[in-house]
This record gives sequence, structure tokens and C-alpha cells, in this order.
Amino acid sequence: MMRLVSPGRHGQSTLMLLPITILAVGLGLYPIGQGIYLGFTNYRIGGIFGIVPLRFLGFANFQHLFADPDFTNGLLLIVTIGAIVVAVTYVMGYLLALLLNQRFPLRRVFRTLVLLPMAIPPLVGGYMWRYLYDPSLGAVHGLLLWLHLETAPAYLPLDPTLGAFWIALVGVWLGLPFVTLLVLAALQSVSADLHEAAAIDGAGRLARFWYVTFPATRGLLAAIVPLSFAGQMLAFDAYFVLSGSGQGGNTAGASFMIPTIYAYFDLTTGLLGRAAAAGDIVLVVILLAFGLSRYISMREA
Amino acid sequence: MSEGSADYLQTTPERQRSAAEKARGLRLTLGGAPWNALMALGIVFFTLFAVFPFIFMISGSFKTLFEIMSGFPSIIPRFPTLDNFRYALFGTGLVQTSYPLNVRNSLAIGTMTVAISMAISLPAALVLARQSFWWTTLVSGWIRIAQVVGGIVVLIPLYLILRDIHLVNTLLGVSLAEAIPGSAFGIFILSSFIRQIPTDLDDAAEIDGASQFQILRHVIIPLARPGILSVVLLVFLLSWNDFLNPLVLLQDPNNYTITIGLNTYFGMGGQVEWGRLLAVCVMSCIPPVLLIIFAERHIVRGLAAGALKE
Repeated sequence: MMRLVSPGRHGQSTLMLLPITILAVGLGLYPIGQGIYLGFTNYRIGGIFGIVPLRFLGFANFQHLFADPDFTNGLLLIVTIGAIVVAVTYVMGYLLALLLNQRFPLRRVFRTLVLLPMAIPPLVGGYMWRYLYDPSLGAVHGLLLWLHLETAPAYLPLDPTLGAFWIALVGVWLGLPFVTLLVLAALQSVSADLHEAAAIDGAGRLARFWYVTFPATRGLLAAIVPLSFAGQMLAFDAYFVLSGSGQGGNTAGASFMIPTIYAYFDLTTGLLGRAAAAGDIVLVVILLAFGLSRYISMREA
Repeated sequence: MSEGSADYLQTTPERQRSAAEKARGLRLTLGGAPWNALMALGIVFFTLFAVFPFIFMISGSFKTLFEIMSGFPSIIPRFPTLDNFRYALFGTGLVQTSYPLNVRNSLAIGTMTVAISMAISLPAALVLARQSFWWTTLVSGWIRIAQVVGGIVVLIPLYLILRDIHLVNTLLGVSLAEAIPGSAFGIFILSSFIRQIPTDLDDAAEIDGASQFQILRHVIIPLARPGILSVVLLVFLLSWNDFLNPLVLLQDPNNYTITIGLNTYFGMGGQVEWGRLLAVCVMSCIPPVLLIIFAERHIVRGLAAGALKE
């Protein structure tokens, strides 16, 4: 369709895009660029060293990070957590969305209840689970003791074998509602006619799901995977609480250092260059995840 | 009553059809009994999973520290007390509470974040929805980046920039930081809402000599009101729930938000005051939970509109 373009229109459009452009460049792209650069410098503020002249270090920060087992273990841990959270929220979110897409009594009430974790501050979610996991007074740990699945008081997120699982469970709890909503929106966009046609052709529930519903929603879901993985790489609030590294440490006395927490501690001690380097590594992992997902979807196409 | 019974006696083709449908529905339900049981089980499982941490949080907030410390928690407090809430809201004789101040700061930051995000994203969303040239491509490219990159990756330079323009340790500085994802999100959702408004309306207004800003104000904003409400609520939630930005950008306790206030409860050396901490957690959840109960439709619609654009 032809659209009339009045003479002043272009200028006005430019004016309308100006605020977001200033924000995106000034407080978005420029910080990203500078953050990447700072990772290669010795930039620091405060601390016992006072002001040190800014120097380009090359890869020294990265060498230091990869030589530090706290960092490499943390990096491995968050990649593991990210993989678990993405896989579990994907499967559980799909199941939950299929359930919520059915008609049953009190459906609205149930839907609101399962969405609750999405609305609250993730930090508060962290405290809830920190309380549930507490070695001496927590309900989850108490339940495991009662079931004789555990024998001694221990802080579950630091469990040598299943620690990543217990941490990821919190990520799943926080992330499940959002994935469910996305799947639900995708399900509702699948045309009812297709279902009816398939039903007339004698397709059962499972067949209809496999041949009608699933293919129609697959594109959207493939887009979610790298996005929610990136979200996990950058997640801080709840994991910060679970790591027990609130000010002054606490009961469990130990902590795990995923890269965001590592960077936060470097930030508070003024080691901004190394904090930025940790951020750079997170960025590289995110880019790798997007590259991998694109490669897989291209090979499938 | 009599009308109803008279109606009941009538047999119309529609009535027969609906009866037949009911019978078929019934047969389907009966045949699917195991299926329905499985479904009910699934719903119960997912609901319990979502809700049980809330239950223990709420029950803990009504317990004395002694009861919390005495081992495996019961759901119903044995010695229920309001002391934790009283402490958080009013403090004690000696200790002043920071909670009311934290709430005030969170509300102020939330309001400013919503205002800034809306002012930036409404005009941009109109241009993105209606036109396509190099600049709109760049802006939508930025929105894609902002969806993925944030948090600790940008926080250090952001801190330095805000320090240079003297906005570190101010509520406005935190709002600006939150308006970065807020406005990206706003443009993303609003432009998909505006695309659903027929262009004929803008064209008619344009022929009458309206400027783009007038079209935005008199045509788009009234029609996109549900979308605007969704974005306002979602951006407010984003701001209320934010922890990392205020954590890094605020140093003066007078400016602390609810999340930073919570963080000071945890630790402070030695023992965690679980009862008090959980009471503040409960109160911090009240606004978001009320929003999701009373405005779920708007929140869900906003998120769905953003997602389905993909």
C-alpha cells in the first residue's frame, strides 16, 4: 500500500529516535565497548594502592583468572547450572504450558499460582531457598534427613556431587514461569483448525501433539534456548545469596564463585580491570552459545 | 421459573445438538479418566513446586527466632508473633528501622524508571512500527543486544560514566541504569502493539496535517493503552526487583532500596536474623504479588506480545 509521506515526517522520526539512540550509545554500546577494553587493563580504584596509572596489560588479567581455581571452578559451575536450568525449564515449561492450555476448574487460580515466582525479586527467591536449604533449620534439608537420604547437616548447594543441581533448582524455580508463558503464547497461536483436521483424520492426543503442536512451536522455543542460557550466565541475585557470600559470610562459611560473583568481589575491592575481564569471559561464553545454537539450527534446516 | 421450565420442554434442533455435544464431551471425559488424573497430578505438582517456598517464608516470618532455630520447621507457627513485622516497620526503642525509607526509595526509583523508559520508548516504538530505514535497523539491533547483554558486563563502565556526570549515589542514576533494559523492553513490546493499529488511522491524521508527535498523542497512545499499561507494570516490576544496579551505584544508606536493605539484614556478622529477614522478604513480595494477581492479564499479554514478534 502506498503511504503518504509529508515533508516534515523524516525529520520528526529522527527526533523521535534520538532519545533511544543517545541512551543506547551513551549508556549501552559505549559501556559495552569500554568494558571489553578495561578487561585488558590494570584499571583499579581505591584499595591500598591508591591511584595507579592506567596501563594496557594484554591478556594478563585473563591469565590470572584462568590460573585461579576459584574462577575456573565457578565458570564450569555456571555453565553446568545454565545447561541444567535451560534443559529443565524447557521440558517442564512445555509440560506445564500444555497442562494450562487445557480446560479445568479453577484454571485461572492455578495459573496465577504457578506464575508467582516470576513476579518477586530474584533476591527474595534466593533468600527463600537459602532458608529452605539451611543445614540446621531448613525444610528441604530437614526433609532429606527425615527420609534418610542425608545423614549429617550439610549445606546442599555445596554438595560435592549434587551441588550444581541444588543451585540450578533455584534457577529453574525462578525461570520456569517465563518459559511457560512463552510456550503458552506459542500454543495459543497454533490454529485450532489444524487440530480438528488431525483429529478427524484419526490422530490421537499424542500424534496430534507430535505432528501439529510441536512443529508449530519449535521455532520460538529454539529462540528461547540461547536467550535463557545468556540469562543464566549473567544471573547474580539469587546465586549471590545462595553462595552465602552476603556481607560477613554466614553459617555455611563457604561459597562458590560463579563469574558474576567473582566480578562483583573484584569490583568491591577496586580491581576493576580484572572484574571487566571476568565480564569479557562471560560475554564470550554467551556469544559461543548463540553461535552454537545458530549452527545447530542451520544444520537442521 | 415457569419460563425456564417451559423452555425446557421445547425441543429445538439447537437443543438436540447441544445435548449430543454434551454426551460426546462426557464420553470423552470418561474415556480419558487416567489422562485427567494424570493432568490433575501434574497441576498439583507444579503448583506445590511454585508455592512451597512462599509458604515457608510466610510461616517463618511469623515465628520467633527461638522457634526458627529449634530445628525442622513446622508450617503453622507454634508461637505466632508479629514482632518481626513490628521490628521491620517501626524498629525498636534503640534500633531505627530502614525499611520505610527503603520502600520510599524503591517507589521513587520505580516511578522515575517507568517515566524515563516510557518517554524514550513510546516515540521510538511508533517509528519502528511504521517505518524501516537504516536508523530503525540500528535501533532494533540494539534492542536485540540489550536483551542479551547486561548486568556485570556493562556495570563497571556504567558506574564510571554515571560517576563522571555526578549521578552515582543518586536515585536518578539508578533509574537511568534501569531505564536501559526498561526502554529496550518498552520499544520491543510497544512496537508490536502499535503494529496492530491500522495505518489508515495515522494516514488520515497525517492528511489532516497532524505531526508525528500529534499522531502519537492523539491516535496511537489512546489505542495502545493496554500495551502501555503492560509496559508500565513490567518496567516497574523490573525496577522494584532490581538488586545489582542499586548495589553498585548506591553507597549512602539513606538511598538504599528494598533489595539493598534486605542484603544488610543478611550477614551483619554472625547469626542471620531469619525471622526479621523473612518478614521483610514477605513485605517486599506484596506489591509484585498483588500486581500478578490483579493485573496478570496485562503482564502476560505484554510478555506474549513481545515473544510472538520473534
